[in-house]
Order: sequence, then structure tokens, then C-alpha cells
Amino acid sequence: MSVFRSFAAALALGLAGAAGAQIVDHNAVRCEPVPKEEMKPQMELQRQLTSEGWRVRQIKNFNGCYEVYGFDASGRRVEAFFHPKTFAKIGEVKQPE
Amino acid sequence: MTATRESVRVWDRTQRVLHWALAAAVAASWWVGEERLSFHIAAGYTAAAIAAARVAWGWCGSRHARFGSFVHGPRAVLGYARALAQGRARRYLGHNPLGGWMVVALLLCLAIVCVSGVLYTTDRFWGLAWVEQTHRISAWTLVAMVALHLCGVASMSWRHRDNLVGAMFSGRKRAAEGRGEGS
Repeated sequence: MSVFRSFAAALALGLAGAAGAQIVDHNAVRCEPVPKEEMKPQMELQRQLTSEGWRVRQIKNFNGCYEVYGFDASGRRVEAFFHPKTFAKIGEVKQPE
Repeated sequence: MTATRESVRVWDRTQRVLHWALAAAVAASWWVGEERLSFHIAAGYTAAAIAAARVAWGWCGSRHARFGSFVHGPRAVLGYARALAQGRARRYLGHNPLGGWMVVALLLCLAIVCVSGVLYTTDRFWGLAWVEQTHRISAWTLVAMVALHLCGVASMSWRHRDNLVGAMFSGRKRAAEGRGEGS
């Protein structure tokens, strides 16, 4: 089970990393565990995204990632996952038209 | 067990179709959840439309479909609940007083689920935590209420020797046996 889980997680990360974008299965998204003190605050991610032109509606922890709901610089709705330490974008959830 | 000769028409066809269509739409929307969002939204709108039709039917449907026939005041509800606790609840042909309020509660909860869901599809409300939480909590409350509804159906079927699930398909139930049985 745990072998399967870590395999699935690695696969999800690998796929997300490779594609850098579209996430089909929400619950398969996982970020590698980071010690709490190494996680950067959500406010910092919000500041960074805001400086890039985003409008952030909500940020929460999800399977070790920061999950952001908002609008990107072009005003497009985005639900995206970021690594809590590096702020690298893990991927985003496809929005319906 | 339920001989046709002594069974009577209780639930009209429209009500039965709306009931099962609503159950299917809610189940489908709940089952796919936020994955396959387009389908979730389509099923949600379908459920909302069916529920709206059911509410309208609550005024213009046949006798047992109408809210006026099964929504009772607090005294009747408390009296029925007390009788139920003491094991002497009488059989109703339509919804009993608790079941009647279950219908209202299910529809109200579904309304909250649908309104919060629709709001979440708009730019104005998308991504807001309180809208998301309202949708999530009301949806799971609805699931719990459906479970309670099923418990009610099962216990009343057992207590009064009725097949209430079958009755929601056929529309027919065993006729009232005179004394002590209500409509």
C-alpha cells in the first residue's frame, strides 16, 4: 500500500513536473515532505504572485503543497499548486470553460 | 404481500420520475466530485432544475405530492415523534409528519448546495474560502440527510410491513386499514 502510494506520488510529481501544468486528478497531487521550519510562509507566496500580477483569493495546504486559488496576470482563473519551500509550480487544475 | 386488489395509487407518476431523477442527478454529481468538473456542474444544474420542478409540483401535483398534505405543524410533529418513540406511531399513506419535514429539509439543503455551487462558477465568488466551505459542508450535510432518509424509509417499511422503495417505483401502497391510519 505504502509502496503503491509513494509510487503514485512519485508518478504524480513526475508527470506534474514534466508537464508543469494540467492536473487531472486533484488528489494525486503531492509535494515531497518539507520540515515545517523550512516551509516559507503562505503570505510570501501571495506577495510573490501578487507582484507578478496575480489576484490571490485563497491559499491552503494541500498534500504538502500550497494550493492557490486566484486569477493570473491575464485575468484567467487559476487553481495551482506550489512547492512550499521553493515555490516551484507543481501544476494547475484545468478549469472548465 | 401487497395484493393489487387492495393497493391504492399514492405517488403520482411525475412525483416518482422527479424523485428518482433527482436522486440520480445528486448521486452523479456527488460521485464525480470536483474531478471532472464540467460533468459535476452539469449534473448539479440538472439536480437544481429537477428540485425546482419538485417544489412546483408541491403545489400543483396530486394529493400526496403536495406540501400542504404532508407538512405538519410543530404539535403534530412532536406528537408523532413521541408516538414513534413509544412504538405506537400510526401508518400514513403519504409522508408521515417526520418524513414530510425530511422532504423539506432535503430540498432546502439541496438549495444551499446548488446556490453555493453556482456562485463558485462565477468570477465574483470563485476561489473564495467561505463559498467553497459552504458548498462542501452543505453537500456532506445533504449526504448525511440522504442516509437519514434511507434509515427512515427502511424503519417505516419494517414497522408497517410496507415496501416503501417499491412504492416509489410503482406509486402504489397497501390501502389504509381504517381505524388508526392516517392519510
